[in-house]
Amino acid sequence: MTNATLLDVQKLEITYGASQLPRFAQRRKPQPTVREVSFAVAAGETLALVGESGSGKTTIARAVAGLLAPSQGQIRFENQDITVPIERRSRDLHRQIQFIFQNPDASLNPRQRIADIIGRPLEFFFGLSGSAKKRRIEELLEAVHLASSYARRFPSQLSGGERQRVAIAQALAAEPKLALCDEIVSALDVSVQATILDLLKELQAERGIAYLFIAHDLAVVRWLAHRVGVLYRGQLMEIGTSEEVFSPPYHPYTEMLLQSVPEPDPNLPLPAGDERAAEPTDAGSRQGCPFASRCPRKVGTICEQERPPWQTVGPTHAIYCHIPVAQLATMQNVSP
Amino acid sequence: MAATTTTLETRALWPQRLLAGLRHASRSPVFLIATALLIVHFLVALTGPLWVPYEATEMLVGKTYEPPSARHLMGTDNFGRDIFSRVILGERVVLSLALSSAFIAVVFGAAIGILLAYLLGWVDLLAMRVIEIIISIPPLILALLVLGALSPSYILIVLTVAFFYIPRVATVIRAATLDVVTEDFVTIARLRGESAWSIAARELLPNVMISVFVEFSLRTGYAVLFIGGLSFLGFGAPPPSPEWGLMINEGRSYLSAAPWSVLGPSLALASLVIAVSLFTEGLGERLGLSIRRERVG
Amino acid sequence: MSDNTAKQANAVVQVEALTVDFWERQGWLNVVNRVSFNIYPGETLGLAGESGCGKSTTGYALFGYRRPGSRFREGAIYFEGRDLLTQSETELRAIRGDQICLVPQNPATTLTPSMRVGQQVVEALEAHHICSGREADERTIDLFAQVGLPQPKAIAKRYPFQLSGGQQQRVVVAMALAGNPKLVVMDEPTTALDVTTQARILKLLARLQAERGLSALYITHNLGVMAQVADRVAVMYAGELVEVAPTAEFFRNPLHPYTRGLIAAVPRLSAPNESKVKLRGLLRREELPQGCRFAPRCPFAQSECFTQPQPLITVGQDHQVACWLWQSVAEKQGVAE
Repeated sequence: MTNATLLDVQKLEITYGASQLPRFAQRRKPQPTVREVSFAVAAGETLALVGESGSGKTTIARAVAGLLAPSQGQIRFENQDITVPIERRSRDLHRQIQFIFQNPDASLNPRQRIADIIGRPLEFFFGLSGSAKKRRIEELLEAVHLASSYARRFPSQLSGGERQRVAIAQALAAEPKLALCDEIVSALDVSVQATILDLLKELQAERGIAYLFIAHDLAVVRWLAHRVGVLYRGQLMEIGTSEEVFSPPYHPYTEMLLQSVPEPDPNLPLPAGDERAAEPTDAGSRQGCPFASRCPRKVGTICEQERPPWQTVGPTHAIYCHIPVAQLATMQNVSP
Repeated sequence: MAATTTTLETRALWPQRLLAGLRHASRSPVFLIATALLIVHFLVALTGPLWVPYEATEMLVGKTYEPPSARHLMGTDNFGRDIFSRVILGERVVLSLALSSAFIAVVFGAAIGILLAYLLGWVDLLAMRVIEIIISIPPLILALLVLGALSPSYILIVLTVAFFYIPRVATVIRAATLDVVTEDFVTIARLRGESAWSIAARELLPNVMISVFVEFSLRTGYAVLFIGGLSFLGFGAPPPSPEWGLMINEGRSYLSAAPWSVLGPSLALASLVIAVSLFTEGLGERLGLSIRRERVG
Repeated sequence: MSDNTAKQANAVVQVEALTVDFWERQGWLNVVNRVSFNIYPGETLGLAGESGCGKSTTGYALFGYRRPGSRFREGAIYFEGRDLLTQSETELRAIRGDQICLVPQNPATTLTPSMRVGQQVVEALEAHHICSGREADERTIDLFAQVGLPQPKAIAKRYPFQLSGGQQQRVVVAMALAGNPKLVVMDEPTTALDVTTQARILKLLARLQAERGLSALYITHNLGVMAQVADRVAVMYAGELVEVAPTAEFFRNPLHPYTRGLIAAVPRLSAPNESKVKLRGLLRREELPQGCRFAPRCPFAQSECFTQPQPLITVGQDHQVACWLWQSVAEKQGVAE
C-alpha cells in the first residue's frame, strides 16, 4: 500500500554562499553544493539522507525548509510548489513542515521556560491560551515522555536528551505532516539516542508524521528509515528502500561507507580499505562522477569525463554509476 | 566511598543572574565601597532638599567668599550662596540628567542594535555606516553645535546627550545580539513565520538583557562627565543651576580668592563618576563571563 | 596471585584508587571515584562510557593535566616508578609530550591555526630536546610519511585550515609520536571525523602501535570503534569503573547491567531490527546513592545495592565487574526488563 506523496523534490540544485551578499560583492562564481537531487517522501514514512561532511544533506533540508533558495529545481509539498523562501510561505505551510535541529543546547531559548517554548506554537498557530493551552502542553510533554513538572523548568535544568525531547515536543505542537530532522541524535549519548529513536518511531506510528531524516550514522538510518538516499558531495548516488540500499548491489560509495562502519563486535573484521590519506579532492568538478577520484571500482577515464547514468535496479531502487548493475552485483557478492 | 553529591549550577533568568552577579561581585571590597558610595549619592539626590541648610539660589548679603566653617561646610561663593547646599542640590540635577540621557540612549540604542543584528543585509550595511559617521563626529563639536544654536535647557541637554550615545549603544548591543541571532532557537522562530519585532522581543532581547544593563550603567557614568563638561564650557545647564560642572566653571574665575568653591563640586563629581565606574566594572566583569561550564567528566 | 603481581610490576601505568572532585558552585562534585586499572606494554586499554562518566578526566589525569577547580582527593598514578600526582610541574613537563602523549578530540582546535603544520611538529621536537634545526625538519617529514600523509614536504608547509580533518588528525598523531612515547592517551580521536576517514585513521593507529609497541589508553563512547581498537575494555559510569574485560570476552559476555544495556542500545548494521534492551532513566548526579551509582536505573537493583558500595569483583579470566548480582543478571540472557 503506497501512501500519497507528501514532499516531492525535483532536480534540486543549490549553490551555497550566494544568498547573503549582493551579487557584486561576491568574489568568484561558487560551485554548486547540491546537484540535481530528486527524491520523494510519502506521508507517514521516513526518508533518510545519509552522507559524510560536504555531502549537502543539511543544505537540502534547509532548502526544503525555505532557509535557502535553490538555484534550480522545484520543491513540491502536497502537490503545491513551495520553492519560495520562508518569508513568502503561508502560515499553514510553516505549520505543516517543522524543523528539528542537531544541537539540543541551541534549540531552546535559555531564557524561556519549557511551557513557554512548547506553548508558543500553540498560541501562534492555533490561538490557544489559558487552560486549553496548558492542557495541550501537558499532553505534549506526555507524548515525549517527560513529566509535567518539566513545564516550569528552564532548559539549563534539563539534560541533553531531555532538551531534544522538548525540541520534538515543540515541533509536534504545530501538528505537522513533515518533520525535517537534521542529525537530531548525533549529539546524544548512545543510550539516550536509543530512547529518542524509539520516540520518533512511536510518534510516527501514532500520528502519521513523515520524517526527512538527515544523518551520517548508517546503523541508525537502517533502524529508522523506510527509504534511504546516499549523498556524496551534493550528488545523490543511490536511492531505494532501506533493505535495498543496505544489501548488494551497492553503489561503490555506499559499499565504502558500509565497510567503514565499525560494529560493536570484535569478531567482525576491521574496516577494509587503504589507510593512506585520501588525496584532497578538488571542489566538485562539473564533469564526470564526483566520486571518481576516490572510487575503488573506478572503471576508467569515463568516470571523470562523463556524468554517470541513473540505473534502475528495481521499481524503487536506483544507482548512479557507470558500472552496469549486473556487474556490480557479481563483484560485490564475492567480496566478504 | 561516599559520593559527595551536589547540585549542578543552573542558569536562571536574568534577574537571578543579575543577583548572582551582584553576590559574586560583592566579594570584592572595592565593589562594595563603590556600591555604598553610589547609594549615598542616590540618597542625597532623593532626600537632599529636605535637609539642606540653604536654598540653591539663596544669596546671603555680605557673606561672599567665606571660607569653610561650621555654618558653611564648604564656604560661600561670589554671590554669597552656600556651596555645600548647592552641591547637595546639584546631585539631583546631575543624576537625573545623566540617568535620563542614559535611559533614552539605551532604550533606543538597544532597539536599533537588536533589529540590525537580526535584519542584517542592506539595512544593516547602510545603518552601520550612518552610525559610524555619527560616532566619528567629535562629541563636543556635535554638542556645541546643537546646544550653542538653541537656548539651553535641561530637556535639550538630555536629548542631545542621548542622541549622541544611541549609536554607541546600538553598536554594542548589536554585537551582543549577533551571538544570539545565529542560535537555532532563533531560526526556529523564523521558520514559524514570526515577525521581526516578535523575534526581537521574545527571543533576542531576553538574551542580551545583561549587556543592556551594563550599557545603562556605563552610559550613566559617561553622561555625568559629559554633561559636567558641557556645563563647564557654558553649553550645558543654564545658570543658576547648581549643576557641578557649571559651578566649577563659575568658581574658576575667582579661584585664588575662594578655591573651595571649585573643590566642593569637583570632589562630588569625581566621587560619583568613580563610584559608577567601579560599580559598572564589577558588574560587567562577572556578568560578562559566559557561564558555560564544561560538562563534568 | 603471584602471577598477577609479576604482571603488575610489568605495567606501564598503574592507576590506583584515583579520586577526583570538581568544584561546582555549591560544593565539591565527585567525578572520578576510586578508579584503578593498569595498562601493560603494547596493549590498548579502551575506556568507555557516556558523557559525564569521568573517562576524560581520568585520561587527562594520566597525562598530568588537572582542570582548574579540580581536587585530586586520593589515589596515585604510577609511571616508571614515580607517582605522577606528586610530581612537580617541571617534572611533569618533561614527561608530558615526551613519554606520555595526547591525541585529543578535535584536531582543528589542537593545531595552532596561524602556524604551518611542519613548524608545529618541529617546535614539539625542540621543546622536548629531541632534536632541532635541520634534523628536526627531516624528522618531521619522516613522521608525516609514517602517518600516511601524501607528499609530506608539501604538507609540512601548509596551514591547518588547508588540510582536511583527517589530515589534521594525522598531523596531531605525528606530533604525539614525535618523542617516541611509551604511552599515548587518545581522547575520542576520531569522533570529529567522517566515518570513512575514521576507518583509515583507526587502521593507521593499529599499524603504528604494532610497529612501535606502544601502549595506549583509548577513550571513546563509540563501542563499535572500541571493538576494533581495544585489547581490553573498561567501562565507567558516574565516575566509577563498572566492568573491565578483554575485548572479545566483553562483547560476548557483558556482565554489568549498565554494560549490557549500553551494548544493546547501539544500533547495528548487521542486526537491524533486534528489540532493544532499554536503559531506563537518566543519570542524575544530584541523586546518587551511597552504594552502587547505577542502582536507581538498574532493573535488578535490590535494597543493598543502594547502600553497599560495589567494588570490582574478579570473575573468571581477567574479567572484573562491579556488581554482586552478576550471576543472576547473567542468567537472564538478553532480557533485562
